[in-house]
Amino acid sequence: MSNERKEEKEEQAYAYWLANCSGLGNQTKRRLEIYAGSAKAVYGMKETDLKGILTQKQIKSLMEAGRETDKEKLMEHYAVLKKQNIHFYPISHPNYPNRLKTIGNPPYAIYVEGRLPEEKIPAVAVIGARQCSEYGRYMAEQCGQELAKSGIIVISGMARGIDGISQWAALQADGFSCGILGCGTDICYPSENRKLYETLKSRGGILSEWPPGTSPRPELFPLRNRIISGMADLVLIIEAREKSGTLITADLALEQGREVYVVPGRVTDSLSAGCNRLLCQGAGLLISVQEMLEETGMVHSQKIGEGKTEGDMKALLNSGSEEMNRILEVLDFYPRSLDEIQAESGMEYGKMMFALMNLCIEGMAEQLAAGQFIKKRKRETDE
Amino acid sequence: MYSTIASAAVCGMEIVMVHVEVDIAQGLPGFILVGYLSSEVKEAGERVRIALKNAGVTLPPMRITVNLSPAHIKKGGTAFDLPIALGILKALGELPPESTEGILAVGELSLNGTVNPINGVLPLVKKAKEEGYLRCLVPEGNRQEGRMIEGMDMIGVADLDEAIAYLKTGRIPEEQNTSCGEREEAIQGDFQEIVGQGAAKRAAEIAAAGFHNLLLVGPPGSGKTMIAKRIPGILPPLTEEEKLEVSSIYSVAGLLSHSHTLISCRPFMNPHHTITAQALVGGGKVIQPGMISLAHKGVLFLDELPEFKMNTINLLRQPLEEKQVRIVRLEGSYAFPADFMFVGAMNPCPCGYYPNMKRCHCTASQIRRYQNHVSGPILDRIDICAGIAPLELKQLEGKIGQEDSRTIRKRVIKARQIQEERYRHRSYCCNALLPQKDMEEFCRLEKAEKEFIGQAYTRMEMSVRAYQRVLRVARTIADLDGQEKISKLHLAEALECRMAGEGYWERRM
Repeated sequence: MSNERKEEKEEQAYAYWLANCSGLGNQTKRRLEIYAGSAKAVYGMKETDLKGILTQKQIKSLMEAGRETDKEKLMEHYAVLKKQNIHFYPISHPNYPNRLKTIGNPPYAIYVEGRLPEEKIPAVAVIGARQCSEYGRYMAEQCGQELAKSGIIVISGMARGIDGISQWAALQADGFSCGILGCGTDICYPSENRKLYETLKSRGGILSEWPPGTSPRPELFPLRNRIISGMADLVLIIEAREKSGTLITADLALEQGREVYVVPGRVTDSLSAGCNRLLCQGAGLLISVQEMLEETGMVHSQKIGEGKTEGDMKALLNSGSEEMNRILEVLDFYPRSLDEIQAESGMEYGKMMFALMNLCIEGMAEQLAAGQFIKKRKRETDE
Repeated sequence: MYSTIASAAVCGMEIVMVHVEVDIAQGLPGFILVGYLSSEVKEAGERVRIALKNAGVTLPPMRITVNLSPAHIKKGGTAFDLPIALGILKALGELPPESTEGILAVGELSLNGTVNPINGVLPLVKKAKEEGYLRCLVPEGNRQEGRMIEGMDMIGVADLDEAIAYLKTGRIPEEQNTSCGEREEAIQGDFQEIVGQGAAKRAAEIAAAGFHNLLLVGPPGSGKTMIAKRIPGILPPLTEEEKLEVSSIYSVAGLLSHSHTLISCRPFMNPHHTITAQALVGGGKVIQPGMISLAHKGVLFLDELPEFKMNTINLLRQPLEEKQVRIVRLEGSYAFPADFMFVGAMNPCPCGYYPNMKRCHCTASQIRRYQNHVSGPILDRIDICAGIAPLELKQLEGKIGQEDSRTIRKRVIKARQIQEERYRHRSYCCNALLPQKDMEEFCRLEKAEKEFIGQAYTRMEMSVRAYQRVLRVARTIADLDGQEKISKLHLAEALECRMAGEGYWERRM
């Protein structure tokens, strides 16, 4: 091993130590590092050196942290991290994402499993409600898939609902996706997204500013949100209630100078209330993913973008029998009961049922709960 | 000085003929009761002695031994008071020896000699008839109940004096109340009163037609209970035989009264979810039929299914399969009939509004946990699952001319007749009980239908059991339609009311 690399590794270990020092903010750590020249130098600083730079309390916690770990232990800790296959990038590291450096209060260091998104490829954060409606689910799938097909990176928080769905759709379409967690990268939260988590690890990336082993705590998630918007060039909001975490992310995105696009919804839907509010305040309106990407200059218009969402449905409409089409017109992304479907289609009960079941078999409709049906995007590949 | 009187004991639903033997002999004066007796029978000694004294009979200072034979069966209840008293009188020579021949006597005595009603007279009289008895001496309060069995001479006695007088002179006591009461058709409500909910009503009709078990799922206040309560009204009326069968259970449970001696409409039982295991399936210190037996030939409705304790619900597994429940105790094993239609109702999620995401804030794991409260094996035995959608207020207005229960019932009866005709050489009589081995024969599908269901099978990820359920239900729908051949339309409808997946509306991702 060359001397240079050894030094680099040592510096990393010191940075790791500094990143784990409690009582100091991200900014302070960064300033301290610049002042001293390196993390190693910060480690070597004496109490008297720090006077005037830090407050008494900060000095105390830094000194305590220094006393607790000697140099050998420091290297050991770092080796454990390496063994877990977790990459550690302090802000001074060349791999540290440039996008993050531009935000206010960038994390002093980040932990990454898998790969980091490439700097040159545009990235879109797709976020939304955890308890989403079927409409939200549909839109999240659609957007995730189309973004991936356009070669755009999908950033999100790997949460339940919109986040996870869009990321999964992107991965299914062979795209790249990066999950930003509010806990250590070695913890899968929420646990039901285990499959997504593993896939992200192998084919995408997982990023967190918290050291491994940090369990998910409510106060960590708002902080996580600034990284989601920070890692993206554009934030796309699919569904959000008024007064939701998603709207906070939207505010953060605007502060960071990111574009915000919103999927519109019906005025009567509480799950779209936040989205419509943002639209009212001047956020971009998503008509189709393609148009959004062209408007923002992320892709250049190659295919003239007719709304693919519409086209998809039209293709479906042409494929089935007349009765099936009639039912399909009545169906919606909002669950409809059998009685409603029958009343609106005006068909005989038996025939209506037959057409409906055919749609279910074809995968164009789905029984959501007892007697409740929704329209569904035809499955291209089985999950 | 020995005498014997015929009587009978109720053991669960079974009636055991008992002979009350009395011997009066010289010796140390005493009153001894033997024959594997429970404590209430042992107390009969005191009641009988005082009742006899008050009827003007003084017991001689002799050794009186009473044996209830056969002596190996545990006997409970207070029905032996009267036969013991009569046996003593006969042994004392107060009654002519031939007067009690061919007579079966039961009844409880008060100290003043009044004969009080007892439980289980109806099955008891039925058994007596089978055993060749001609007359039954029963408490006046039970006379009407016994009359339900034709060809039996029922003599109701109000007190001990009347009984003695009858046996001595053959004078039949005056009948106080001759009104014979069939229990009024107390069907609760009519389907006409339910506005909208076409799909749910249709599901109820199918369930009734094939005696399928039914699960109603819907938000609070959408009318699940309303629909369930009206199901007995669309089931075919009970046959005379079934009426006696059901009434016998009520008789044993002591639920028949003087004016209501015959259960003539299908029972509807809806126990609260705090019900204990004993109350549900039967049992207790003195073995009594449980809710499931009281729902025999009718409907057992469990509202808020996930609130029931898992182990209580799981007790239904065997009765649902075998149509009877067997309770084993130290004294023996008792079988109670329990051929009921199971109707469950539940909300789709803890708050009740899923999949309406405007109102439902339940997380996927909350919904899963809620669903998991319902035992899988029980869900496995439910053929039809119907969703009930919340009504909009405007739908409530001005909807008249809906179908009434009578019209629906007519269709159900027709479908039942078809089934009875089809299964006349089998041990079962309705589609719900159609076993797998006979499906090939009775649910034959044409090529096109086979293709259709085959597609559904793979695309909807059904299990074999789910597939069989769909076939059974499709059979019933075809019967309702009056068609021998199961068509695609029938299959489609059956597919809709199946329970999909593990739970059935599991939230994805």
